[in-house]
Amino acid sequence: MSRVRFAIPKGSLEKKARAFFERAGIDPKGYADGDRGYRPELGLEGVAVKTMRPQEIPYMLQAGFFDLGISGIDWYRESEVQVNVEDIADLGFGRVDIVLCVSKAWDDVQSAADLFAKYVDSTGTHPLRIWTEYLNLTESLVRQHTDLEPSLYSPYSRLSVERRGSSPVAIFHSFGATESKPPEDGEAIVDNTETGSTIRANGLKIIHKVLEGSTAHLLANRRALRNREKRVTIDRIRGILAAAAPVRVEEEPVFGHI
Amino acid sequence: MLNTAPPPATRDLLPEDTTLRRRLELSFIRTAEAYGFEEIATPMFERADLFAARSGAEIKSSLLTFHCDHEEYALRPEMTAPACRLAASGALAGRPAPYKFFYVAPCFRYCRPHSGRYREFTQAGLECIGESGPGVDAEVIAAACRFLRSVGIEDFSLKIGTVGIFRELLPEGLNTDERAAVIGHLDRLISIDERCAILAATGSRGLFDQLKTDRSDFAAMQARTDYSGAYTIEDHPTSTPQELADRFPREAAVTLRRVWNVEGYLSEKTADLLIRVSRIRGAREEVAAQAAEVLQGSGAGGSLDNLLAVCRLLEAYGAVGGQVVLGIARGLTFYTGVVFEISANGRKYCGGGRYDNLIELFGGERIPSTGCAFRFDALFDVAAAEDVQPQPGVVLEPVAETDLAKTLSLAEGLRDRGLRVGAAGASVATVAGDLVRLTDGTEIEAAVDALAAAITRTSRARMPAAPRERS
Repeated sequence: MSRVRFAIPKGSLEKKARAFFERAGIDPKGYADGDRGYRPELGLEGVAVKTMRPQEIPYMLQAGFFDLGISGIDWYRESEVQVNVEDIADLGFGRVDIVLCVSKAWDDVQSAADLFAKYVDSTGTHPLRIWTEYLNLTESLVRQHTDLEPSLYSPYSRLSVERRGSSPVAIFHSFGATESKPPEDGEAIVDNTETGSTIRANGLKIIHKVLEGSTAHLLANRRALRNREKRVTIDRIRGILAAAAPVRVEEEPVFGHI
Repeated sequence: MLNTAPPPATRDLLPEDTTLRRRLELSFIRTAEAYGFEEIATPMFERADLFAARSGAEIKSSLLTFHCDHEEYALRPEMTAPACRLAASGALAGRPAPYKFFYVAPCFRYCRPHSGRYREFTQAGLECIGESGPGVDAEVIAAACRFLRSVGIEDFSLKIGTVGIFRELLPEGLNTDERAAVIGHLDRLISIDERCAILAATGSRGLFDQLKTDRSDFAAMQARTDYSGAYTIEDHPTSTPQELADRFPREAAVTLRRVWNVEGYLSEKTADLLIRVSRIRGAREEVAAQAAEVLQGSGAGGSLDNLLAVCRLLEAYGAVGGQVVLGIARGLTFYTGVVFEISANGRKYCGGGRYDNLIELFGGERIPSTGCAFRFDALFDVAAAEDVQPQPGVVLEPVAETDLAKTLSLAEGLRDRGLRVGAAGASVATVAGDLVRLTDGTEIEAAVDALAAAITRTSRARMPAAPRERS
């Protein structure tokens, strides 16, 4: 019988994922803070579990290294793997917003449109420098608001060699602590935030939500879903996990009168 | 093959649905016109910033937008902003104020499929632009109530409050987002209060689960703000609905005070005052007395007097039964004064209030305005089924090809007399030479007048049709 290979998050989502598993009636072994191993045991029959960074899980699912995984919808979108990977359940935990921020002192910039309008005509000698871990989401943000192809700066030369140029907008590949870059080393950031307090504490303000309310989702490789045996196991896991996902009263945004 | 289902979260309306919608629409138009409102129609789409400018990203993500000529457009999500844009555009110059407008218009919002809402829906509303004072606020509320009664909804609940009190109490230093956050919190607190009261009375399992989810959100807020004290949620797992209904309102209030304090939004004193004011509700006199006591010395009170004046006028309109709820705090970026909500069977059907700043925000002058809008499609389900007597109808069929010309001219003659010819399901009459044979077998002369009389007679005999069942 073919086992379902299941990738669960290591790092940022880990603590919340553990609490979530417990709510679902699963007692994860080897998935606690001090554990050095990467192969916890969830007690699910027919499933081989491994921990991975949430950033990697969507594209490892796409590559077929795993059949099933848990990652934030932000990384699912960022990895652009929708063709091969299906989003099969919203697990509701780990909620963050992906936001575009600039310095609090910039009174003339209140929206993404303001920010791009300020730089669109600059020659590229003083480009708009946006630091981010979300290179693709940021690039599509730039393309939605301008006609420009942004230049891309990354330590990996293959990524950026053909994309350094005189564009008025430059995306810089960040490896964390993104909020520390402005004001001197960058003008804007695209980063995730839970409460916005780190952003405020670093003298920044949110001017646009690139992706709002990203939560952890259960993702599956589409080929695995077509395998009858694996499908049975995947559906069983989805059933167990979906039952633990919080039922939300959807709050409707109020526009106008109702 | 082409997917023939309607797009996600949209629907097709069948003839019986459109018939009902048309009737509701006519009732709405009659009511609006009786109060002197006139109809406007604006484009189905607008520049996106018309809707996004005055509000946060939350609204932006609910818009259905597209780009055209490098400009971003949005399908309209509501009609008040377009009406205000119209007022600010100068197109109304020279007309006597106030402008009293009504509309029945399809609007669009992005929502998740299966959320129980539709991405295209109809909004019907009233806007009175250019008049301040409690008189028009009361008039709009009275008109809204009359419309509901006119479509057979008698058992509704009207809640009236004012956001003016919050505007008076919130510190000047808070920016729009921070104000919206505080108001959102208060709104949630009031909703928790209300649901806990229902839970205590009914013990509903679904409500219990729902409130448990809410409670875990508040536990997370406590953890984030390092709260610990008598109301730490983690220390008190509640096992019964009764326990939760008892504890949660207090826990929620304590949590919010903590959050506001840590975020630097409000002092303890203001936080306390806000929560106490929000929880005042009841009949006009009771609220007046309680609020006067709570608000004493706070400097807030002008908007309370205005609210009470509107309530007194409503009593004169005969729209009694309304409850004053000072905690209605939604839409502070939008509203400036009296606000109200009408619901029936636990669902909100209508919302409205005074918005004196909106036109100024769009670059016009400051024009005091008030209005309301109905979730029109939702009314389909509650509007009383009425005996609809359609025009008597018939299907005419020629027996032979040579009878076709006679059949067509008879049909046109019947239509001239107001009868329906050719509706599916109507009784069939056959035309053969100089005779027409009706369904019941009687044969009459193939002349328009005789035929019209016979059809009217037989249709009457079969009327009235049973009222249609709606699920």
